[in-house]
Amino acid sequence: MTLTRAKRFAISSGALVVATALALTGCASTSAPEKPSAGPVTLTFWHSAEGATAETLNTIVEDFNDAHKGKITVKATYQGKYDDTVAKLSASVQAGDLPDLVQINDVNTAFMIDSGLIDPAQTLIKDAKVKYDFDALVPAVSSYYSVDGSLSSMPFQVSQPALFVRNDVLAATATTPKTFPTTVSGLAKWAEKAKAATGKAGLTFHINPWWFEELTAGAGIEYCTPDNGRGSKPAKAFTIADDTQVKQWTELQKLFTDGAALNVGTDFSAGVNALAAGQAGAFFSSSGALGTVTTAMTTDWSVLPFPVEGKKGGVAPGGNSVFALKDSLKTDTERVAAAKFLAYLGSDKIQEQSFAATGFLPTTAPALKESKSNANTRQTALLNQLANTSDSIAAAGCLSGALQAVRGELTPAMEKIVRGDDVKSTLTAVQKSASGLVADYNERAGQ
Amino acid sequence: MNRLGRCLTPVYLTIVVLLIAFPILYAYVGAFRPAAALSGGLQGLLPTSFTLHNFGRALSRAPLFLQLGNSAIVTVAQTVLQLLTSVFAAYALTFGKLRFAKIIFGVFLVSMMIPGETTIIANYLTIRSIGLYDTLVAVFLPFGASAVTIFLLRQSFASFPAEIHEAAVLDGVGPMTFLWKFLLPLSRPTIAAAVITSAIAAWNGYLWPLLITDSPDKRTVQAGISQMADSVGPDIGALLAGSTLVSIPMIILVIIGQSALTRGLTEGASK
Repeated sequence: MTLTRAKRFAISSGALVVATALALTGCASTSAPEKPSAGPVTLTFWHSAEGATAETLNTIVEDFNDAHKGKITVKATYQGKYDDTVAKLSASVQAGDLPDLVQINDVNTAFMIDSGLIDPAQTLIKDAKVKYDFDALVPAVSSYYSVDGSLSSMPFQVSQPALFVRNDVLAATATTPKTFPTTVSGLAKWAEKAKAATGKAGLTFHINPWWFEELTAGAGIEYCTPDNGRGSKPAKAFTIADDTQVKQWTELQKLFTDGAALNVGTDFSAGVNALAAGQAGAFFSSSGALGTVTTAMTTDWSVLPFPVEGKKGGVAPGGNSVFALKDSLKTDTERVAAAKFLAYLGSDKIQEQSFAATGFLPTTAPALKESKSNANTRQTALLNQLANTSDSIAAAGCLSGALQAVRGELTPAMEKIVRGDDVKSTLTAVQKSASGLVADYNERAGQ
Repeated sequence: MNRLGRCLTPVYLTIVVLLIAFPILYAYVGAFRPAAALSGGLQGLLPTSFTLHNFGRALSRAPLFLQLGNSAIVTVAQTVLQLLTSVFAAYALTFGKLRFAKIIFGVFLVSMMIPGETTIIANYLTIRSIGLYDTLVAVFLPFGASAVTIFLLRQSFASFPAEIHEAAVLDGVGPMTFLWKFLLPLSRPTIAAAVITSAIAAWNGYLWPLLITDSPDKRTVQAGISQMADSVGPDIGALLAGSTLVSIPMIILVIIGQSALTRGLTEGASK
């Protein structure tokens, strides 16, 4: 009797798992997506938009679907952070089932181009005879997202760094937005002055390699050579321990050791909190955080341009763009549909809508002009900075698939520098390992 | 010294409890505070006003309740499956009189040393090829067997008194009856520890569920939570509200099973 009961339990619990498994599979297989070859087109679109940005993206996609009812449906699905999306993309290549469109951040742009998976946006749109004015793109944006003069993806949510400054600290240092320093040295002096006047740190930023890259572009230095990886040859080396870079980081290091700059670690929101709580007077931020900082601040504050020096210097745009993938776009109907969606994302109307809702910058000149007419002072400062950004090679930023790996080396180096380690030797060590990383990457990419 | 120690212990414990409980308290109080209050340092936590807006925003960004249900299904299925396979494997390794039991056990142990990330692509390809992509089954199936659980149970079974086993066998007790009537009831703390550790692992899974599913309604709640806020526009309020909702089931499970968990994890330590 006991034997049968024990057996029965074992068998029934095993059967329960199998039955659940079968039931769940059965359920799911009926709703598996199918892609018809003719008639209405469904495009799968992987994205990494989160929080409020995701809400805007979903509205944009719904509006497109409504306007193309019965013809094109874009199915947008969230795939985690950008690195998760890239990981899933790599896995899907082997499985042979890729999405039609994918949103990828600036750092992974070169990786996407080198992967050989993409259907370059400019060619796709031209082939499909979809109307789009490529000349209307803001020069800094177009040069950032172009290789050999042609757009490989559609710039979608573009951002730039800027300086967010508390007005009470501006007043305490007798500075106005107009007289505020525009160089790193000037900013360092101002931060010391702010510390003397208020007793609190003048400057803060989260420890992130993006600031290193932006200060390099701002000084007019090509971060990777030759030609920031934008010419016909791939980048072969990184410039990380140039005299100007060493000088910039020695000045910044002094601020940290003097207490004129506040170390908030690697967390962006800790920087926002420090600015909001008055623990720091100025903050390196992304334009994309305009909304967040506005919500956080209880006192008046200003947006000022990021430090830029010389004619070649400029603030490299970041953000993300949308790629079309050639293996998934098999029929002409699908290619035309994808081209229409890309042109829609880059259109003046969508770019204005996106700027108003999120703080990501408009990518086209007409959208920039129109946005300016409705903008507040802080938004205007961001728009002016973008319009004034040089389209020099230095300001276009580095295009290399090794960029992400180099960032991995730079973060601990920056942490060491702000804690007081020798700037020159720390940066030289990173430069050396970066050469190895870029050589490894080029070898893997067959370049 | 003894008296001093007696006085200092509560002080020390209070500090440690505060340190550990603080992040949880921050999340629970912060979830009900207006967005602006959360950016100005700790004074923002003072309960001056409360709002449910954070929960509204969190729930509008991902179908969190549905995903909570998915997480529950995945957790139960993965834990039951893992326990069944592990109980049988550990039983066979301990009492099965296998010829190469030690070598087989060694192979299981080696598999514990291979990081999960390295097998993810192979698992992905397998799941896709058998047509389970974007299903809940795909989320737990690859974790149906666990070397850690087999190890835990095998250690516990190995310490089972051999005389009782022999006596039971002499009395004509079959292997299944021995397993269910003798072995498992006496290994209850280890089973409880195994249930809790594998349930927590199943509940916290992030990359795999994200990779193997596509539709929000097939995802687990951890993937949903990551969608609450992005790095440059962190909506802390929504993030805390979402995390609060998600943490409740696990906290309840740990409170119910905590004594068994500590007993199970330390079992075998003194042998």
